[in-house]
Amino acid sequence: MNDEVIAMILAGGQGSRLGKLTRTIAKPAVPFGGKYRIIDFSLSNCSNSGIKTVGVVTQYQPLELNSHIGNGSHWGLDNKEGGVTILQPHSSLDGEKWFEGTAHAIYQNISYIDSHHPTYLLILSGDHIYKMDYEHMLDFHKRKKATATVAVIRVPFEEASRFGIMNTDNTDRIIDFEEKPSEPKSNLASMGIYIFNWEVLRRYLTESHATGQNMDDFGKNVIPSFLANGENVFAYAFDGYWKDVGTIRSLWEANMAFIDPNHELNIRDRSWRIYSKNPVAPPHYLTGAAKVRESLVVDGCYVAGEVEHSIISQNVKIGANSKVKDSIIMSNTVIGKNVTIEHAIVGEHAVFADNAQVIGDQEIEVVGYNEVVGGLTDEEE
Amino acid sequence: MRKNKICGILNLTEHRQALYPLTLSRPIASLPFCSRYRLIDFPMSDLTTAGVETIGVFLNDSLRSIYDHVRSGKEWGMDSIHGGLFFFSSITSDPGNGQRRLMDGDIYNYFKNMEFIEKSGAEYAVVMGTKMLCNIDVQAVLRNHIEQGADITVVYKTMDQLTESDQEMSCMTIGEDGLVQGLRSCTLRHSEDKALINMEIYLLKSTLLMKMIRNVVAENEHCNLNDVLHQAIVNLPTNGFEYTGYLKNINSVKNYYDANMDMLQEANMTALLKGSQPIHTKVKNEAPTYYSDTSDVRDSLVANGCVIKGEVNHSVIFRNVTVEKNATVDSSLVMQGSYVGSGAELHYVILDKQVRIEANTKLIGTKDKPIVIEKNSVISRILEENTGLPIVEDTSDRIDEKTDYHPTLFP
Repeated sequence: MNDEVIAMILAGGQGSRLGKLTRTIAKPAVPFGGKYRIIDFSLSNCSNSGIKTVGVVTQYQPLELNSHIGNGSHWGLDNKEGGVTILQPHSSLDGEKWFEGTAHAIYQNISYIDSHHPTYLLILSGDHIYKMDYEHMLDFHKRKKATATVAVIRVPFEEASRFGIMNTDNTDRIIDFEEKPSEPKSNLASMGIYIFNWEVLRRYLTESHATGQNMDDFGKNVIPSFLANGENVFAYAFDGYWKDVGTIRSLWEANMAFIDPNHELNIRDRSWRIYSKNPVAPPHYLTGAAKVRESLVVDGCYVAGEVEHSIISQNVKIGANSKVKDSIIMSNTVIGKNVTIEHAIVGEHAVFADNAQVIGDQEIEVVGYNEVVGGLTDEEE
Repeated sequence: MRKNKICGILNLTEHRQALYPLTLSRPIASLPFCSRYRLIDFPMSDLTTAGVETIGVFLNDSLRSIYDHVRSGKEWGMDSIHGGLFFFSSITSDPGNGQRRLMDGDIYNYFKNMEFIEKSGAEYAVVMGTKMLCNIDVQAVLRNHIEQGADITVVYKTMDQLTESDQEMSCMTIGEDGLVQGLRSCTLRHSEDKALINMEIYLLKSTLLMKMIRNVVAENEHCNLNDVLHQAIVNLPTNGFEYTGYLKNINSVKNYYDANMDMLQEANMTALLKGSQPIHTKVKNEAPTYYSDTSDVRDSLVANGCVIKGEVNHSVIFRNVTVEKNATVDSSLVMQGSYVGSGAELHYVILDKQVRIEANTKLIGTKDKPIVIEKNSVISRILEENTGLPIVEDTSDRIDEKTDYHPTLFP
């Protein structure tokens, strides 16, 4: 079966700036918004864009990610055509195939891509929160007769020096690319989303590898090389919500903004749903004493305390007289009585003993997965 | 366990008139329950948890709502290469004679489709319905059946107190040897004794079940499988298996309402839904439920996908429900996709799916007779120019005259 386009999601990133939250799981598997994981957005976008074949390239701490993705059925990607395939680094006669960078990860999986004979290759990152119709981008790519198209988004000029910045002519053709420029000439930042004519990209990757000039990274190596050789490289301007939740602060902020029912992502839009793996859980129960304001709550929770401007994920228990404010509580966390949690991100399966307190301030407090907070010390017993 | 030791028979030809208008266009098995389930989820989950790989679903009329909910059975792990789900309807099993056969009882539907039991290769068959809401360990029933060595095992529950609506159920007497001695209708007259309620869950050898069905059809008797089984447990050595968990007979609107309300008590919820046997249901990808700063929700169960801006007290809210600001929902069931407008007030009301209650409408039922609003209704309070009195406008397609459950008017 020939797919016109197949997608490769690069989900190997460590996300080290997320500290405790990515110590045991890869960044794309970090929970978001009460019932999602970050990669759900890319996977749902693929499914909603009609892409039938998706390779998910994993590397760092893949266990959680692999079990989350399964056979892709949760995103409707368990189809006859290709479905989801998890691609991990492996050893071969040529030695170990550890991925050295984004482009290198594609190079190592050439045989997987070839087996689907795609005309176009869509390259995505599993790290971003956004809704995007990749079919529009592909139409743009074909209309411009491009060999490569880079999705870009306008960022504030003062932040532009943190991104890969594309300078374009008035036909959207990229004439210059600068990685994290100190004096940006434009504010069109690369979103890490690319469409390539597979035949051309394949040639670049194999030739560079054959000559020992490895192209490890799309931003650093591949795009500059395409530009240097006069390929048709175009910028596809995306106008919508897009967030790279790379730090604790940005993850917290993106979650807090997500509570707002008028959020730009429009999560309740049934024509572009974000799918996830939905575990079995009964509805959530709020007791007679519960007080929940300006918050998101999902299936399986039991709330006897007070919740204000927070996200409460699956199967969380909040005991009487406890107060959760401006925080994200990830799934299966148990919070005892008289507990106070403010300005915090609490990982999955954490436990709070009665009377425990976690209060963040300027700095967001992070409680790791399975961490136990409070309780009597030996002396107090 | 050897593969496919038991096959399941879901007997969904249950009388549903008593639940009108909730069951006007759906069988009892499709009734929504506890925010996100349907009654069929319970026997489906019980059977699949017990390792049952082949389930036959028998219904007298349209399978649409059942099929839409169950589909391939994926959520219950039924979409494997072994066994699977089989749907049988009287209407399709004998197209030329469908109407007549319907009047003859459901036995002919079983007879025509008995091949599925044979093909499954299962040694035992379990027959269950959905009216008796429970969460039963089918493996435990099988173990008990083999230990006791009787021909049939029937599941019962001991009830201390019977209510009026229990009267149509059948009660059993069980001898000291543990065998069923007799079967009679439950009557309040006997209510000083403990009543052993027949839960209409039967386990027996597949060959015996097929023989019974064949014999009845050979004698040209028109009856239901349930009648056949009732006769059999009296005539053949039958072992009683006592169920001690949560049970509700969903045979009236009141019982249906009460069963939902029972789930607000943690002990009931734990017994039915949080025990060692999880209940699976069709997965919907709904967003998390949003509570605004004006919301005030107490003692309630709420599913995903809702937007709650008003007051909700002692109620069960299903998926995708909107409760607007200054609305009050009290002691009510609000099913999937319904909308309660601002200033509206609901007490003891059951809103079926996709009902729209316009702003400032008041509906007040009672604990014993909750008001039922039919699926897709729009209920609005309109000031009549002449009288200044509000009237209730029901724009749903049909009002069933057999039922008392009409929206009541409250100025």
